[in-house]
Amino acid sequence: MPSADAELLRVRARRLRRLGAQLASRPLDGVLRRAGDDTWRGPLAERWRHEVAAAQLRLADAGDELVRQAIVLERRADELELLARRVAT
Amino acid sequence: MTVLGYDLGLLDVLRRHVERCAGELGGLRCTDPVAVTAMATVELVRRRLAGEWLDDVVHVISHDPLGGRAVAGGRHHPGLPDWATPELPDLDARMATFVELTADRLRVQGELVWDHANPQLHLQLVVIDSLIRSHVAAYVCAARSAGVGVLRLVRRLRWTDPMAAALVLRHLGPDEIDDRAFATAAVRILQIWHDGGERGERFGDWYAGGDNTADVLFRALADRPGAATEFLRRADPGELFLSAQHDDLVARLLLIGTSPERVDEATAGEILRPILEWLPEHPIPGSLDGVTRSAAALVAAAVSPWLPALGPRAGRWGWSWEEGDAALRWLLTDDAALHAMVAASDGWRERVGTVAFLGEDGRLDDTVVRELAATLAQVQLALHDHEIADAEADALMAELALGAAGAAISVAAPGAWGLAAKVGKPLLTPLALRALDRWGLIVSPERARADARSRFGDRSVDAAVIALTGLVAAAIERGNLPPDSLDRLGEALGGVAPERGELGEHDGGCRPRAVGDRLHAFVAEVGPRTDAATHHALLAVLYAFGNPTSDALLCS
Repeated sequence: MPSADAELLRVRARRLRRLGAQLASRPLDGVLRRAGDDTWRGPLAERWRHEVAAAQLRLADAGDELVRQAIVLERRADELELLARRVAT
Repeated sequence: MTVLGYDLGLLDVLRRHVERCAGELGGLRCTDPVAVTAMATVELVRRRLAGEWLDDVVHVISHDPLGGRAVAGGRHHPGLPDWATPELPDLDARMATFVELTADRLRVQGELVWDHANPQLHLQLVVIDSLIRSHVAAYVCAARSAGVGVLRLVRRLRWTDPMAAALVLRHLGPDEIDDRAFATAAVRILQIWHDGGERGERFGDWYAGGDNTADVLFRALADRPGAATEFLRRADPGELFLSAQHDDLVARLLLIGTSPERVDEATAGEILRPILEWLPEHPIPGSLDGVTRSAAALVAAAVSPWLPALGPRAGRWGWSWEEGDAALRWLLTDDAALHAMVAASDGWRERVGTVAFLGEDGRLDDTVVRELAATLAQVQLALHDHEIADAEADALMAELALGAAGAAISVAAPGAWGLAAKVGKPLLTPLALRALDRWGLIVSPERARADARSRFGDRSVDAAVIALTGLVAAAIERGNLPPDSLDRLGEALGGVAPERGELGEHDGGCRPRAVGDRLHAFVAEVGPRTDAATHHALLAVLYAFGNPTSDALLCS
């Protein structure tokens, strides 16, 4: 039976994964798709698209980081469960 | 903040997505300590989305720097090239359609040159024009639905074949595009047509036969008087006279665009003065297609209502009397132009008939009469100097004299003629007409042309006699002069009329001077028998038509 601490870590990890997945799913894609040359063009449009695309990458990075943190939490949860089983045996 | 092109409808879609996305990011929640950095990133992106990035989009939408207000109001966005335009796929597709239809039209036009009575070819033209009109209407409808301005299409016309652009532009009505934008587009299209293709080569309509780009544009402009005026203000005279294949289109455009019914004197000068300066320096080659061979005559007709601006009112057109007089003489020495001025003199007299003779202070303004009298003298002097003494010149002088006399009567005794007077015609009562007829002075344009020789040797004197007769007749009818006053005037003039009397020694053999003297004597005689206002009116007419320069020349 999993310990309460391990379970808590897994809950946190699931939340982080869910958020990480949201950020990594390129939430600004819809915006960028509608900001192409058909919509507007020129230096302002170029800079705007560049900045939004950069923000998209930062969100994706943040999402990846959340997934890594979730993995860390899951490993700690695994370790806690393994430790708990060893103690039980 | 520079944009070279955009679609307002798509920008609005983008705006909604930015707002939605900012809202979605704002809805993300995570209080886990390890997510602090990620959530800070999310918040930073959300703030930029809802802040500066959304502002950028909204700014373009709300200011529309390349759109209708900026162009129509003459305010150009700093740093924007005037050719900037979006390239909507839909618009490009439509433009390709327009170009294809234009090519078809030119092919049919070419076939009509050799087979002009072929009904099938005429039908094809109608069908093609109908298709173009339908496509334009479809675009306008779609643009309105999407909240996109039609000016986007107009700007795009500058990038396409000029004939296709002209065929599209003519289907955009006042609801879609105002006169100024319409005229600006027409000028630009015509300039591109003149410049030629990338290597200066002529466009297809040059070789096709039938209407060319200028013909299509001029016809469309003539149907929109406001746009015609705006076009003429912007177009170079060379572009106007070295373009269309049909002189009548240029004539319509000029007459409509400078009509006294629609434009003021300054605007007419803005259009006609550059033309009058350009034409004498640039003789129109008569052997080429696409030139206005009768340019001088067309301009003469357009100038006729504004004749005083070539002399006494030259300042209103921003040039000197000498410059205006040179232009007048250039017109008078061109046979076709002189003929056109005679033909257009009805317009001149109508113009006189619409002049406001009451000043702002409510007093009668006799400036107009003096200016008309001066114009009459100016034309007479020019004709004399250039030894133009044919029937055409006499007819012109007769028309001008009648108009000037009518104006003089209007000023001196406004309202005296009531319903009997027709606007633009000499305002003479039946009593005055009978007297003038008795003395052989012509009062109708028809008779003037048939028998246009001056009665008293000088048209200014003729005009003075007509005006004075009209005034005396009106004063008699009002009871301000004795009933026999016209008879006395007739007796005074009878002594110097060609068929009734010889000139006395005291007249020096100069009939105009003799008649002038008799008129002054008559006015001096009736002065004590009338009221002060009538006496002053009679004197005003005499002084207005006093013309010592031409009088001296004619009698020398």
